[in-house]
This record gives sequence, C-alpha cells and structure tokens, in this order.
Amino acid sequence: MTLYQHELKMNRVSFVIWLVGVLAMSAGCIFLFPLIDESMADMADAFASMGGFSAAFGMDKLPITTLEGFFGTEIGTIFALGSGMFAALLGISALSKEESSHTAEFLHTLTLGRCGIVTGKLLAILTYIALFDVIAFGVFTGSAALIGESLDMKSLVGYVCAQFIAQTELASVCLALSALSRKSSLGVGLGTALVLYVLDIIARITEQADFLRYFTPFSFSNATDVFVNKGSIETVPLCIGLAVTVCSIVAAYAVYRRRDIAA
Amino acid sequence: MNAENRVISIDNLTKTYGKNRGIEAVTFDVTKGEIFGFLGPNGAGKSTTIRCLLKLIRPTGGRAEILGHDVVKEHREIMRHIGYIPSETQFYPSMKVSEVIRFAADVRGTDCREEAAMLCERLRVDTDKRIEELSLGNRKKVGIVCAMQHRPELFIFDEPTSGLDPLMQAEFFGLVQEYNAAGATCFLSSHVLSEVRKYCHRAAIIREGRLIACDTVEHLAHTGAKLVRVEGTDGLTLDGMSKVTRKDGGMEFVYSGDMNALLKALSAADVKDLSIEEPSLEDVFMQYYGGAEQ
Repeated sequence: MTLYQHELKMNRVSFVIWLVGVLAMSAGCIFLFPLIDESMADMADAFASMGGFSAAFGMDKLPITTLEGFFGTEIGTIFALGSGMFAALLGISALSKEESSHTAEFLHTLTLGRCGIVTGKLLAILTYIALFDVIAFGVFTGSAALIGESLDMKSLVGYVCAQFIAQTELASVCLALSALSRKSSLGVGLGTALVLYVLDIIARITEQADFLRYFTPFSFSNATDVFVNKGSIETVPLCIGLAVTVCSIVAAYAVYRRRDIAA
Repeated sequence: MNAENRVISIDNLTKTYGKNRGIEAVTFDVTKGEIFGFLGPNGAGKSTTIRCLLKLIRPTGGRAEILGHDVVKEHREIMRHIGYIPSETQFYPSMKVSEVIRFAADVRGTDCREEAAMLCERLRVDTDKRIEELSLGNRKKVGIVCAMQHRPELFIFDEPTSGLDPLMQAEFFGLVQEYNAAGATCFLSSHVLSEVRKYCHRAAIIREGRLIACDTVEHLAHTGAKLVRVEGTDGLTLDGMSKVTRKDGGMEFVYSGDMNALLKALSAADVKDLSIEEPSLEDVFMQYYGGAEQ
C-alpha cells in the first residue's frame, strides 16, 4: 500500500500533463464540430469513398457529419494514441526507472520483496489508466452536452471500456519489457504504442493484412467500430488482447523475481 | 561456533557474471553481537558478496543464511531485521528528506519517528531539504537514518563512511557502537583499515573474489610476519621477504620466513641499527595484497 501511494505520487505530474494534453485536444475537437459540421456536409460522401484512407480512419462506416462519426474518426484517433502512449510510458518506466536512477538498492532492501514491488507499481498503473478513462468519459459527455449534442451512452461506455482494456494491454507489454531492462527506455514505450497503432492502420487499409488486427489492441478498441457496433467489442481480438495482458503481467513477475538488480 | 549465534552464515558463496569473476567459494560466519569488517580493495568482491546477501543479485553457487533464513528463499523475512547502507546512496530526487525517511519506515510498518528524530539530530540531517539539493555526504546521512531508525538486529554497511567528514564518521561509529552495545550485529565492508582496526572485533579479507583471511583483528595483525628495518646494509636476500624497500644504504621489509635464517643473515651483515616489529594491520593488508600486485 505504501509503495502504491508512493508510485501514484511519483507519477502525478506526468498524469496531469498527459490528461490535460489529450483531453484538451479531444474536447477542442468536439467544440469544433458545430463549426465544421455544415461545411463538411457536402464532402461527407467524398470522405466516405476514399478507399483505404476512408477505411483507415473509419470514415467508410460512420458519416463524419454526425458527432459519433466525427468522434470515431478524429477524437477516437487522438484519444487512442494519446492515452495509449501514456499507458505505454507508465509501463516501460515502472521497473527500469529504479535502476536507471539508482534508487533500486534503496527500494529492494526494504521489506517489499520483488513481487510486492511489481504489484505496487502495477496497481498504480491500473489506477492511473482507470482515472484517465473515467475523466475522459466525463469530458466527452460534458463537451458534447455543451455543444447541444449527445453521444450514444451505451456506445461511449463500450468505447471507454475498450480503451481501458487496450491501454492495460499496452502498459502490461511495456511493464514486461521494463522488467527485462535496466534502462528506462521511454523511446521503446512510445515506439511500441506507435507500431501497434500503425499495425491497426495497415490492417484496415489492406485486406491481405487483415490478420494484423489480432496483434494490436488498437483494433478492438477502435472508436468507429465500437460506435457502429453500439458499444460491443469484437470478441476474438479482445480475447487475444486479454491473453496478451495476462501473459505480459505473468512474464513481468517471473522475470523480475529472478533478475539481478543493477547498483 | 554455536549455530544459534551465527547471524550471517556464508558457505561457498559464488557469483559469476558470464565468464567474468564475481566471487568464488566465499565462506565465513558473522557472530551475534560482533562488529565484523570486510576488507578488500575496489573490485575485490565486497559489494558482490553483500549484494548476494541482500538478494539484489542471485548467487550462482553456494548458499548463505541470515538469522537462520536462506537469503534467496526468505528475502522478505530477512529484510525485516536488516538495516542496509549502500556504498552509493541514492533516493528519489524530488522527495523531501522527511518523506524518504517516513517512506522507509512506513514500508516496514513501524513507527520510527522518535528514533529517526534522534538520528537526524545527531547526524545533523536537514529534513526539510529535497534529496536533489543534498551533497553525497548528506545523502549518506539520510541513508544512515533509514538504515538505523527501525533498530534492526543486523546492520549491513557497504563502505559506510565514504563521503562523510571526519566528525560525522566519528558520530556514525559512535551510533554503531551504541547499537552494538544494545545487541545489534554489524557487518561492514571497507577499504579504510583504520576503521576496521579501531571498531571491528573480527575481519575478513577478500582478494580477487576469494576470501584469503578471516580472523580477529588482533590475530590478523599477528600473522607471524615481522616488519624488519635494517640500517647499514641493503643487500639481504632471503626467502619470505616481501614489500622490500631499499633506501640510503638500509632496507625495510616484511619477513615471514625462517627466523634463524634472518638472524644468520643479519649477523653476517654490517648492521648499524635494527628493529623487528609486529606489522600494523595496514602492513598485513598490503602483504595480502602485495602478492597479487607483484
């Protein structure tokens, strides 16, 4: 519990910066919607028929002239990338930062034990991811209400849940990488998030690469797909995502329990 | 030695890093209530041994027990009874000193406020400063408070006085002696011989990863070797001579050979002055290490 509280405190500034940054951009886009709504009306058909480009951003499934369509293509992309990168950074720095900043000896010679350290840090990560999504949910609904619109509640709840699961998967994969590494490689964390995002884009553009969507959390948490399906999440990629999450967490514990800690 | 009195028991402890040497078959015990010195130059394996005891690294061979608990399997239980100061103390830079000290106590689930206040006062620790504002010596003092505030049964110190000024070194050893008098055991690594000679009851010497001596400090200084200073001749050559220096027609050396051979050689030489003394711990230490250097 003490380490959990300590971790929350250590990551507080980073959390606030990412939260404000990502949600300000998301809310800003929602506020822009009434201004571009009318001007885009004529172009909606064009946006929906640009082949791979339309497919990549989901414009072929929901009209961009509706708030849900606009949310799926614009805000969903910003939020998924922003929150995904934040989750990846939390995971990648969690364990390795202790060695790279030479605080590992202090932490490891208290009474926490290796598993206790992983647990405390994992719980802090999950707390921040959950807080991020709950606040985002409030900002999305509040911003929509302010412009006199509303998002389908069931779809939005499904989307935020899908995002939580996707962010947890990203953080868990990065936590496992962090357990292996002695250096806090923020680039690896950001890179992991971006590569998995690009995999989703490729899977959407090319039919031959459709299988790639089973390897990335950005596929089952895609805003357009979740809104089209009224909040339900595609089962197979979701199950694969959950399995990857569990395996990554188990790997993080297994590796970190046995690894030599650098001075 | 009575097994119940063993606070640290190290048996053939080995750690290798791939093909690189760490420590090899290190074996010794530390008894309850003693201050035990662990001597060796940089890179000899002192920190590697300590880091194995604290499970920061896993031994590749042998085993070690602390207070009857296996250091690998029962790490958490062991850490409840240990206070540790690393050679290079580092904490979270943005935290205040008071927060670090409280964090260490809270993790242990003990109320150490009274002891921590006493330690901070004696070591002159400014608890309102942030860690990033502290010098190496002041960070070390915070480390000492974190290691001592819960009054552990066993202290493990890795070069504890590096970075401390002489006054603080004296205060630190004053605290060690007080806790020791109250029943605590202390295991400290050092390459400062005067510390070990002054404060330790027993000591072990490690060289290139292997333990080469372990005895009381008194016995270590009485190895049978003698420090010989001769004026009038610099031409003696005998088996058992080491650390030979020749100057101004005289010579000085550590002698561990046959005493009759020495006397015979001296009587044949033109000796103007002669002294044969017990070597200091420094000389013994250099003798142990001299072999490797030569």
